[in-house]
Amino acid sequence: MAPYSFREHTGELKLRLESTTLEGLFVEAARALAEIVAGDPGSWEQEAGSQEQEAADAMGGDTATASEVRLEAPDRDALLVDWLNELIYTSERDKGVYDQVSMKSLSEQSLVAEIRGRTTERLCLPVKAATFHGLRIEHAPSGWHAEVVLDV
Amino acid sequence: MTKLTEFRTLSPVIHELPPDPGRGMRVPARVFADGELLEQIAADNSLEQLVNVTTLPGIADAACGMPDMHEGYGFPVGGVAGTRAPDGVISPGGIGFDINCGVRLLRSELTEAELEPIKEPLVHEISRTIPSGYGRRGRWALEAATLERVLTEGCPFLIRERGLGSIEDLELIESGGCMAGADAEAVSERAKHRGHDQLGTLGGGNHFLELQVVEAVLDEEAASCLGLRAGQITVLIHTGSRGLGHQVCVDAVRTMDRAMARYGITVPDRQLACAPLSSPEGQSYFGAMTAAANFAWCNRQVITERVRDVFERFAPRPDAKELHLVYDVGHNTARLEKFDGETLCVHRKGATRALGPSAAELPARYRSSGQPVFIPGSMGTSSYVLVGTDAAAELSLASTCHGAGRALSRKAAKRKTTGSEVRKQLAARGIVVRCPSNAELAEEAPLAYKAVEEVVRVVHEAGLARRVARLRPLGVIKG
Repeated sequence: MAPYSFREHTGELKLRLESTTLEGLFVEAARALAEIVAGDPGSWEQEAGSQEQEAADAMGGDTATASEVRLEAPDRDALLVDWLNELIYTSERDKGVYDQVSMKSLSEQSLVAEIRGRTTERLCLPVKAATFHGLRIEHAPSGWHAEVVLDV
Repeated sequence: MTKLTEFRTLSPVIHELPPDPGRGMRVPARVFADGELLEQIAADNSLEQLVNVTTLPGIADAACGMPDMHEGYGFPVGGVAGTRAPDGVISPGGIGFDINCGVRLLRSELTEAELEPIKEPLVHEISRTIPSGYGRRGRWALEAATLERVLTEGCPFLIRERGLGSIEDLELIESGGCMAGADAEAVSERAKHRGHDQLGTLGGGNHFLELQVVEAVLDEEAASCLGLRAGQITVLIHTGSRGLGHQVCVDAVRTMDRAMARYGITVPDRQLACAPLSSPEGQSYFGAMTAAANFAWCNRQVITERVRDVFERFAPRPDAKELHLVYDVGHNTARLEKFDGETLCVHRKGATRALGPSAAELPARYRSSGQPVFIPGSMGTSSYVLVGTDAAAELSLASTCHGAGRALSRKAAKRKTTGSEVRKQLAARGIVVRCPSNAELAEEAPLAYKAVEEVVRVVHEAGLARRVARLRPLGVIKG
């Protein structure tokens, strides 16, 4: 069972999440977004002449970054959408790839988490936002499953 | 599940699903497409999404789907809906996250033969000058007070007070580059932070800047009115309100999702979250959305000025240094517009306003032709210039399509081609490409889109807009 995967959608990006716990589902959502933000190194091709890209390369090493997230929402669907949108905003603000999550508390309507990761000069953030469209969070005997459409 | 067989064929290119109260439909769902495009549209969930739009409180006339319609979230991309002001709803999902994403066309005095020897360095220099790519920051970090004026006053502020453009530009931007009702205070600090250093940047995804040649003039009189002639070099800019607009939409969907119960509103898809336009939530979003629209016009204006600087340096003759604006028109907006004496809040999500010649707010020079509309093809394929018709007011709330429309998901496109293959194919056709990412190049490959010719033919035959000219790409800078 892949903890997260990206599914077909004509115009957008559908994210499928799986975990044994609800907390795990939220952690996987962060990891999936971090993978997108970090970009696939193999997919990038250096074009000659991009001054900013060259400058970014010259700056070299990434540095560690961390942030605290506190959210309240009317239900867990809204909480997952808010969580992803918070991560999108924080990633863009910090030029950060947040792939580690320490969940301090999580309920149906609130969460407190510490997110950690690294800054990058090659931020790749094609995701504009997480949406409610087709959002599903299910608790089955096999574990927790969710699908969320991201606007790209 | 909405089936094609439920639609009545009103003409070969107009199909309508009558309102079904059992599904909560308040008005018909009207789709502009021929048989082939209709089949493509029916292949994803866009018809279902259009039916969902017909349930919005206060919706008037019909929910319209353009021929480039495809599945989005909440609204389909290529969807149009007008709700009765002041108490009909406004739905941020009906405008989208990239508020006032749009297209502007510039015309030069250069010919293709004159461009050829300088094409490669010119494209290269433009790509160095205009930051592109996801989350990229610009070269101008706005102070809070300046950003406030950009949001509130739009292009007139940039042009009159900062000298970024000519006075002539103002009448050639939809709404003069400043939509009334902007409220910078309704724009969150987060949105302002995301946007403060992004003015003058292309962004990523399907955003691009293209050098083109007018390959064919299809309507001499209208083309002449727009200052276009065969063989002329043009520049097309497609971008929007960047992170600022995205955050405005995120904030508003969140607010309205929590407010709907208070107004007794239920929607079939939570992404259609909405509130009465007259409510505090509706007014706040309208003010913020309008401010983001002004930001988008300013973004395209700053990019235009940078391209003009490059052209001035590269022009092979003194009288070919200038780039004149043909028009700038958005395709992700909500506007208050009058139809039959009634004021509607017209949501256009991936749809372009197309005013006919008799529209009072058109600049004088376009009162004989109608409003210019630009329909970009997919990367490397032709784009079209059209003009609006008076008939479109009744047919589609004065709206037309906005592009070719995706046919394949990004993933499916990458299974069918690679970025390096796309580069080779474009190079073989003499098209210079600048795009940092092979993956994104593959995602935006021509095979991922519907045939723009067919989409444009349908809007022409349906009477939503008239074809004026076809533009062939020579150089592409992809975000």
